[in-house]
Amino acid sequence: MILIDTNVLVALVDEHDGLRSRALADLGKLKGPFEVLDAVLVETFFLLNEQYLRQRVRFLLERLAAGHAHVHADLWSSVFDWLEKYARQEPDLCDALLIAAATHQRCAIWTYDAEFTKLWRSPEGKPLQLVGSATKARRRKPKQP
Amino acid sequence: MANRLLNVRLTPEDELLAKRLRARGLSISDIVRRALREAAASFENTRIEPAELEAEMLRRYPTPDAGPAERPDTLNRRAVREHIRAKLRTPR
Repeated sequence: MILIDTNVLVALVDEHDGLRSRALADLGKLKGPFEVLDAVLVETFFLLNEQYLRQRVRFLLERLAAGHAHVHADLWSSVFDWLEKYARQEPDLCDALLIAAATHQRCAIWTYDAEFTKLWRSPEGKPLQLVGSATKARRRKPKQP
Repeated sequence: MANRLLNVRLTPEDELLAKRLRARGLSISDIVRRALREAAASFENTRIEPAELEAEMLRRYPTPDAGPAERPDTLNRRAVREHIRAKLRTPR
C-alpha cells in the first residue's frame, strides 16, 4: 500500500506544477493500492482553489481507486511525540500523520519532500519506506503565454 | 458516497482472528477494504497508464485560459503554511 502526499496529488492534477513530469513517470511505475489521509486532502484543497483542479483530484482518486487512510486515536500520542521530537525543524501535522500511518500499517509514502529522506525517521528512529523518484530542489514552471 | 454493507461468513478460526484484531484496536472493515483493494490490484495486475489518464483528465476538466492562480511551491513547507494561514484569515 502507498500513502500519497500533498505534493504528489497537486503535481498529478496541475500541468503547471514543476513536479508534474516526475509524478506522471512515477505513476506509470508504481502499483497500488493507494491511500490518502484526510489531512493530505485538506492541505491539497487549500492549495487548489480552482474548481477544475478539485474536480481533477476527485477524478484521479477514483481512477486510482484510492482508499481513505486514517490515524487511529491510539496513535495520537505517538504523533504528538514525533512532532515534539522534530520541533526545531517545524514539521507539519500532515508529515507526522503520514509517518504514523505508514509506520503503523507498514506501507510506503509517495512524496517528493526531501525531508522524508534526509531528516524524518519513524517514531522508532528507522528510515521511512518511500517510493517515487529522488527529490531535488525545483521551481514551479512558468505559465504558458 | 454512502458505504454499502457487506456480510462475510467467517469460519470459527477467522472469527477468533477478527476478535483478536478488534481487541488490538484494528478496524475489521478497514482490513476487509484494504484486502479487497490489494486483491483487485493483484488480480487485475494493471498499472495506470499516465498518458491516458492525463489526456482524459485534461479533456474532462480542461484548463481555463487564465490557468491556475499563483500558489506556493508544495515543497516549501513554510510558504505552504503561510498560504493556508492567509486563507484562514480571509474574511468571509
